[in-house]
Amino acid sequence: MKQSLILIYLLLCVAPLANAKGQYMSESAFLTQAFGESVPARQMLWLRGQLKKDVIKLLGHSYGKIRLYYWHHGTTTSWILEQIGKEKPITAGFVVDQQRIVQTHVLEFRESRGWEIKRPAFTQQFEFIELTDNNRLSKHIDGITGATLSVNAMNRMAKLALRLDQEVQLTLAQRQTH
Amino acid sequence: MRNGKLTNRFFVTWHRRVGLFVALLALILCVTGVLLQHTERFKLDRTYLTAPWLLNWYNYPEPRVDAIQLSQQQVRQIDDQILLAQTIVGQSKGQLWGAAETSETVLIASGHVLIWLTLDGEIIDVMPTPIAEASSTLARTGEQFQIWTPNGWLIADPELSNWQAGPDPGELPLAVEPSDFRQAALPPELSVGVSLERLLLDLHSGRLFGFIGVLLMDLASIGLVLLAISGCWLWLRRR
Repeated sequence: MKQSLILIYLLLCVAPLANAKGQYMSESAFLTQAFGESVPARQMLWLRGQLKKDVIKLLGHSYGKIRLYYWHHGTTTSWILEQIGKEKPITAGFVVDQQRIVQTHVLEFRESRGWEIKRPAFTQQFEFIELTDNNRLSKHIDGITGATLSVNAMNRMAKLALRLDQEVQLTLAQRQTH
Repeated sequence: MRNGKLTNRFFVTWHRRVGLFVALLALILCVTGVLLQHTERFKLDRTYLTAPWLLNWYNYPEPRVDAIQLSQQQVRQIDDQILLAQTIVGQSKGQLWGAAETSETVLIASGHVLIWLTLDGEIIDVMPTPIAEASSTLARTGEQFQIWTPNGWLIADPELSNWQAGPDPGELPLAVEPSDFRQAALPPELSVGVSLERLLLDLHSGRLFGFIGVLLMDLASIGLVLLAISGCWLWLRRR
């Protein structure tokens, strides 16, 4: 009886770790969810000039690299971004349509704590969120106890995806005008 | 009455003796304890010490260091971490096998990873190598980078998006040279060596000096308890 209780206790201790780090969704699966079977070609965006300054202001630090990739079709853009939670990068995918986030997925989580951000209950909070004029998210995102740094990283990436989408849409509009 | 005076004198004498013995060790315990309480704030877990005497003391295994000398600066890979001059620019599980620079950018090749940088060390992009092998040769022709494959040289477009068959490179590839870790000036945030957190933990527990150190810290802790008891005792008696 005592041994069974110890075994149950140990299983309960280890069970959450089974959900911890790992790849939850591949890049191709994310893009298929975003665009269906006809995924558009990958495009590049360079963080230079004012955009680079804006990104530093949004994140509180530079992004980590100055060339980003995105996928674009109509009014929809899709971004795969990385930000460090505590020590290791979290990879997340955001789909932005008409300057609002319509899908958020945690693609890969590499740390042992804070994995709860992958849950739809958390990621669905980003749906229909916009970037306000003072660079804030238009809706409050409820945090998760014990996952504060991961939640902060997700908030930063959401803002970044919205700002980058603005840049792409602006460039496209300028091209159409010319 | 006489017994009380004797007891008081006994406590005062031993209070002083224990206090003297404990003083330095208590100071170490307190200072390291306070610092360890604020590991994140002081970045103790992200600051690494590489002084030769400390590495010898810890029997720290010698990290592998490979270096490539560019025209103005050096590319180094220390274990799995890659540096351009003093800036950490990436990680790779494989070995450093090439670096080349144009007038504006530097390309570093290690294992299956290519790291493309500005001359200031700002990362432009990190991408997989266009070859299956974990090691080859990197060179350049003018402003274009080239990689050797068993089928001949590949040449990249200016955005490093496409690699196509190309001519022999205009410049000779730069050699990868092994380097001495203990002679290298390294940035403190490079996670190679003994972390400041570990050093403070070992100083706090006394483990830095082996069994004797642990024993001394145990005695210092017991001494602190005795000081508290004898201090309270003396204070109560004088009232």
